[in-house]
Amino acid sequence: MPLVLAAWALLLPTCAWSLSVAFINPGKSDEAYWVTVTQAMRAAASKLDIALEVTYLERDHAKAVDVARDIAARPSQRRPDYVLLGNEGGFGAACVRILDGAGVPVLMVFSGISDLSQRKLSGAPREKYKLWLGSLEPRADDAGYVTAKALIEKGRAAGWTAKGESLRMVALSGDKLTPSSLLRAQGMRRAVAEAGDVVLEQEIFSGFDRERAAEQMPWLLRRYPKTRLVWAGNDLMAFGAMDAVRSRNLVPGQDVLFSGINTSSHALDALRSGELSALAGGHFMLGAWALVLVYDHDHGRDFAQTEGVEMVQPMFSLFSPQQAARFSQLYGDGRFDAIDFKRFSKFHNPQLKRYNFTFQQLLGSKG
Amino acid sequence: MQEQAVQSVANKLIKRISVYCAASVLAVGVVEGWYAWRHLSEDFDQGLQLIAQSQLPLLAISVWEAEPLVIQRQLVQISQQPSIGYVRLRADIGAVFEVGNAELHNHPNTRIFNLAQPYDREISLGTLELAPDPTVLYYEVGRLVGITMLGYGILCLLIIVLLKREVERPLRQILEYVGASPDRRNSQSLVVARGQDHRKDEIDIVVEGFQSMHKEIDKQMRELDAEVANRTNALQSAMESIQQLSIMDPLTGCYNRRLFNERIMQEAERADRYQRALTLVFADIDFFKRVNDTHGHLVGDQALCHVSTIMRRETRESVDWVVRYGGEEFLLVLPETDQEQAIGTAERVRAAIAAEPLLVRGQAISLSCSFGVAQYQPDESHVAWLERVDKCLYAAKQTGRNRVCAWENRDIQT
Repeated sequence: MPLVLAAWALLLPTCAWSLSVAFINPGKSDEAYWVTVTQAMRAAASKLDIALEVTYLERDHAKAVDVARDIAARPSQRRPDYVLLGNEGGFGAACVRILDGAGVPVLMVFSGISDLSQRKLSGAPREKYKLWLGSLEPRADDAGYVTAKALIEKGRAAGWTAKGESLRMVALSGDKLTPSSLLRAQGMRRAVAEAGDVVLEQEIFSGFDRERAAEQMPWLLRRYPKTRLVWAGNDLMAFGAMDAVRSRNLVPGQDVLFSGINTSSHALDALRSGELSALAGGHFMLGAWALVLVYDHDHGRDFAQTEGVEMVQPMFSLFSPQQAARFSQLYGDGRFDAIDFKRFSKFHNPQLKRYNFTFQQLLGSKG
Repeated sequence: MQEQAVQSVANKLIKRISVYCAASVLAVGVVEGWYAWRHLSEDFDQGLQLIAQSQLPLLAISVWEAEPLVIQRQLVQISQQPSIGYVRLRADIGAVFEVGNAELHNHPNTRIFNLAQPYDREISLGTLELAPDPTVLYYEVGRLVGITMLGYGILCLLIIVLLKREVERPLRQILEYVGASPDRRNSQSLVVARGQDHRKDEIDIVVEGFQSMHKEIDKQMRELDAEVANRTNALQSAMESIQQLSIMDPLTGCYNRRLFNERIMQEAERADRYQRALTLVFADIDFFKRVNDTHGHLVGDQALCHVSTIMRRETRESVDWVVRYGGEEFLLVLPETDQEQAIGTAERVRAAIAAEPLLVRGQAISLSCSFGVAQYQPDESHVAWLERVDKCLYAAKQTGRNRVCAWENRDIQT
């Protein structure tokens, strides 16, 4: 099994660390967003004295069960103290069952169990499976909402509604299953509904994939030649759609406006250059925030008492071009070492009543 | 031969059945093929409809959601249906997808279906064209017709085999029997091999008829043969009797004068050729007229028989021969015998006759004979030779009878 293991975490004696955590990363090991997630987590782990072990599933969600089984099969002293994993593809409950049986506490990250049929099997956290501590999710509809809203405003600003015409928009969503994808689209639709002068021509599903979006976009352009706004569920789909627009001799950012989600350097650059009209991000920090949660939990500060076991935290921020520049300057190339993660810990800051995981504070903290 | 001109009933039946069978197969095959073609075409059409109905919604969604890869995959899946030869999808945005054999797209049974937008069925997202794969149809029709034909073929073959076994073979055996040489036909009865569990039929009756006829003929032939043999034997003995009669003297059993005249030449020739001695003895019963006159002709005949019996007894049975030359005259032909030996023989005969009187009703009648003896002289005519012997006999008569006189080179001595 081609697992990419953080080998150094295994080679060093575990007693040197106060805590060991394994993260099952659902993304690809060369995918900007998920690599950034890992980088932020490493920075946090280093600050919090945590031994972090990361395994990439390479978007093969079913493999999560195998990884969980491997962890459960280890001798007890080599098992991590906590496992962080998501519910991509609906395999979370199976992993929880395995790890709960092996006595390893689990915190679900990025996506929890909200589907009713899955819920029937898994129950709520700490009920059927005592060691399923809870879940931490970004408020995903925020991302869809803020980007769509900003995109519509840019469209209005371009004067396309001057003659009483409505703005024609198409949406490129990720897929029909992943909760975060559905929630982002939901936020987008909320913004469209609020706007009143926007017609959402069609929402299609491009699997968060740049090539697929580039392949599908010409269809939409042919079907809806008056399209002015393109909302995308992530940055890659926005870039794919731009490629298609360019090949029709249209200029992204001028003839057609785009929005995206994620703080990849490419996306930040595009925002600054104007090709992207709206960009939201910040949820890549969720892994790092989860480490703060388990760190506090391990030190007797259980989030259940204050935040509840299933946390949906606002994490997305809309980026202005200036903020994009600042972000690149501060954290470019995954340099998150400057962040003092202990500052967010209730153990180190007993006066802290509620966690604040918004991204805005990071942009402002050194400003 | 005659058989070649004759047509075999079984072969005729087999030929006719084969022809009719072939014709039936052809006719049924055509009907079946036509029917199967129509039926399968309808099935095909329904199959196309079904496939279209089941696949259209998914395809419409794929087109609506602009998923070329999914569309291609779905079209490949559709084209994998055995009845589908060619699939073409024209999307609203101008894209065309096609899978399968493009030559089939003008097929008359090609069906065109409309792809409706999933959320607004009034809007068309394009068309889906499905062309059937005719090779599957051909294959199916061929299979159905082939099975039918095979069935007919097997049936035909079975009938032929049965006809061959039950009719052709026994008839051929009968025919061979009839056509065989009369000798063979007569020597053996007709045997026709039939199966073990065979029940009697017309052919068996014919065969039995032949067999009983053969038996009857055989019997009659046998009787006829016996009759012929009988008759032949009778004829033979009759012929022998006639032969006997022609060369024998009926009274005495001696050879007659005719035979003597015939055979003496051969004897003389043989004597000449091999330079063997040959001597003739001429005998005459003395005073025979007196015997006749005294005792009657019957006794005279008995006397002739008596004398001839003694003559035959006293000569060599297989070499010498005794001839009744006429009346009471006898000739003894003695081959391989010279005159001196012949004189001995004649003397012996004379003595025997003189010593054995004829017994008639208890009365002994003394008889005697006179003998002339002359050896054959080379190249002598038998007439001359006979004259010489006759002269000797005459001399014996003249010199007192009951004696033997031989040729003395010149004139006979008295």
